[in-house]
Amino acid sequence: MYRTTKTSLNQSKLSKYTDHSSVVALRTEADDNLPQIFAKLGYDQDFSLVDTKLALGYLTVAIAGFLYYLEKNYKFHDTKLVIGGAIFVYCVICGVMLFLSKGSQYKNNKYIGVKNGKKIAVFTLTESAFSPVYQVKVVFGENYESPVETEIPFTKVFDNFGFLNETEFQAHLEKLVAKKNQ
Amino acid sequence: MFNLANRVQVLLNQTLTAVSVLTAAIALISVVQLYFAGVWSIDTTSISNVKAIALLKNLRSFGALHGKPKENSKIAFDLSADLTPLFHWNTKQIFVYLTAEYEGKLAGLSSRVTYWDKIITRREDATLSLKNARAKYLVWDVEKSFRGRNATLRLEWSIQPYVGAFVLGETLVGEDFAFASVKRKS
Amino acid sequence: MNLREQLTQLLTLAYVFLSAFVAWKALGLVTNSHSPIVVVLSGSMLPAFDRGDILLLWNRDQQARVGDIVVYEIADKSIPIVHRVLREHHSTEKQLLLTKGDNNMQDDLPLYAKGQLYLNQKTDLVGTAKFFFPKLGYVTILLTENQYFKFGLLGLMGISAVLTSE
Repeated sequence: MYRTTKTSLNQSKLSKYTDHSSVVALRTEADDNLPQIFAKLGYDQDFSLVDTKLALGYLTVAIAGFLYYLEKNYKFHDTKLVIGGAIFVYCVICGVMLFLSKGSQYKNNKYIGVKNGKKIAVFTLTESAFSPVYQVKVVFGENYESPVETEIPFTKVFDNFGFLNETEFQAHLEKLVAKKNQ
Repeated sequence: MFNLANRVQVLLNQTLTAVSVLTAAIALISVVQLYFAGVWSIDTTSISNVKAIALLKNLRSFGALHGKPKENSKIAFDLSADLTPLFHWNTKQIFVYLTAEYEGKLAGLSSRVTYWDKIITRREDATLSLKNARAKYLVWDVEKSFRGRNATLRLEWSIQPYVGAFVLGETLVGEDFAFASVKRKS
Repeated sequence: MNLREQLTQLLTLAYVFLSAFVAWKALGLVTNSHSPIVVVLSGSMLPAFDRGDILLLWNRDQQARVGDIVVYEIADKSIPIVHRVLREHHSTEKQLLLTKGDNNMQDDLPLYAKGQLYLNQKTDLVGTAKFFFPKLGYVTILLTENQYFKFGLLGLMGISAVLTSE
């Protein structure tokens, strides 16, 4: 795992190789490549979900900053209500963020893209840390309809050194998306 | 993302969780064990032969304000007690103290003051037997004087654990005495 | 794209401190104390407490009890003091306390503000010590009192931050 860090310092990002004994590392590497593969398939990435999560995240940072400001400038016993309110809002936002990453509609969502006004969302997972099979699900439209699924063994898209074979990976995903039109 | 910093953080989190759970368990078991050892119902204590003395002090550290002398009280007493049940595997020390509780002149005012205390760190020293012992502290009241009032002496204790909750209690024996008055210089 | 990745990583890093800080604040509300966990800094309560011992405070007791170990603050003195209650005088509205360190010869009268004879249970206490954990707080003492430890730790955190963003 440390090799990833080391080599990426002196190699370009595109030719990074991954520790092929770690399922999590392989899945992360495949996930990281989804945007560029779908870009080649003609999709524009839709960042609205990512941006929403980021905005909410930095809002909680602001709340913590506000709590720190209160601590430095006011007496605790005069500001208990305000502190309570701020913590409540913080918890609510954290709840929303949790829903946006763990809720059934969002769990394992790795990519959202648009092509010709049509939306697709890509979900990926591996069964466990010991099962080297990449499970991909793609749904279509605003309401996430007509799901298509496939399983790609990592051995098919990574070579013995842990390099991702992009052409092969793209071919698998292209075939999956094409399933819907059948 | 699975780098050194992450691993250290995960390790730290797990250690913290494990230590918290262990600590809570130790604290709970300690208190339950003390309960079954009957520490809140020790009734073999004896406080007797209480002699109260009153004197006037002029220093601020004895409660005197604006140069006016303040009435201070001290006592001499006999005390015997067996506090060995307070010691178990999680007792770091016990703090034993002799308090007097009394009502104020003003309605609704009530006070409790310490005359004597002792830190005991070994079970072997937890049996007390004092004859004509003198108070460790001179006591002055929040009001002007103790004159004409009665107080109840009690032996109380506080257990300091190696890790866990502080536990306080008192032995079930009270001994009444009357505060002395300052003798007028003639 | 790259900016988003960096912002996400920064957020992940920030959350290590953020969640701890907000949890601390929430604990403060629950215990009604602005500093619900304190580290013992002096030896005035030896042998009960040594430097670095950790105390959990609770500040919702109606009254303090003689023998309780309380943490109090004196106006204009920045460092809170951990000592034992020696006397208490209470009416229905108010409770006055006199404290003393186990390892001190005298009570705390000289430590109080000018003209102050007692602590007010309602306003002067940070909390009453309810729970004890030994030694762990020595880290914070090292952090504030030992320059090498402080900069060493900061450096380590900096290096790990650089490695994380890779």
